[in-house]
Amino acid sequence: MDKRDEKFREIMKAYEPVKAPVDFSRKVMEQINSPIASKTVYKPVFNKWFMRFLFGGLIAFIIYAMSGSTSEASQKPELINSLAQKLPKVELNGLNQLGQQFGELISGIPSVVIFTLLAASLLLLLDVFILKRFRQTIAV
Amino acid sequence: MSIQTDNYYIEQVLDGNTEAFSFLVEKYQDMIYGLSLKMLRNAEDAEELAQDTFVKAYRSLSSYKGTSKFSTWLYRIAYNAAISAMRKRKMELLSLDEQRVSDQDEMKIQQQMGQIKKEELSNYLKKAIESLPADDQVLITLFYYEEQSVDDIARITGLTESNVKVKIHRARKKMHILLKDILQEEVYSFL
Repeated sequence: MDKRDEKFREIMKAYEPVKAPVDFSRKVMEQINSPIASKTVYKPVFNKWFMRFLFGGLIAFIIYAMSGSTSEASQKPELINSLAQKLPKVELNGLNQLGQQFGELISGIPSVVIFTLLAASLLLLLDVFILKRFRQTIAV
Repeated sequence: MSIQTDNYYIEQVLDGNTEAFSFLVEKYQDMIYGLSLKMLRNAEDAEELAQDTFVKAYRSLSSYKGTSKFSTWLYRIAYNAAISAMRKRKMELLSLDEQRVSDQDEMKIQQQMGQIKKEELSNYLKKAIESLPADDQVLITLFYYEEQSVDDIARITGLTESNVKVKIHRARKKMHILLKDILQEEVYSFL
């Protein structure tokens, strides 16, 4: 520390910093002693990525299920057909069987259950959004 | 009533005497509130941040190892909270252009300051400090007013010691530029 620092420290002794409000200490102690002192931070039931994945999966399934009935009637455009012919063929029988088994399994589930699951996942997704907002509010 | 050390009150709190924490709040409330106000520049926000700092300190008191001063530890909590609050609000840390002030000018300003009445000087210092960027205000107050060591300031701000030294030096220069301007304004106001 040089002379200028020392001299400036001398000058700074005249500085009068702002004081905390009169009831500051009381307010802090009230917060500490409050029965809900520990701010109950809201946490979603599932991780947000899990929820997004689940929701995405359900949407994809619905689209697949809905398009299943119409896909046979629709025809692919010629350009897509020609492109598909050029692509290397992969043996998908195993996957198809697996898909069919999965489809049968799903079709066995009552639609009420599927709608409940969808509604629940939508709510949980909203839950993640609400949590984000909640954290922002706490931070401000 | 005898004045006890910070560690005495900390031990009391850790032993279950919650009220002992109020002594620590009373002791450091001006420091923490001052730092919060310097950084957030809003009395309400500063009070909330300062309160949160103490509540956070209370809740994590068991993690205070005593390797640094309690005030340093407390300052660090407040400083980090203020920095993240500023980032969320996209507040600027640095804004004052660096003008040059020679060592001779600095000595001259210091001499002039030495001749001013304490009350006036206090006003000038307050005015100048308030015009500094937030981080410079904190550094000036910590080093020159509260006489914290460079090492402690490095712990509080998370900067290296050499960086703290450079920043303090620059902040002091800026402070002198502002004081010089204030003195000149005062002279003109008399003419």
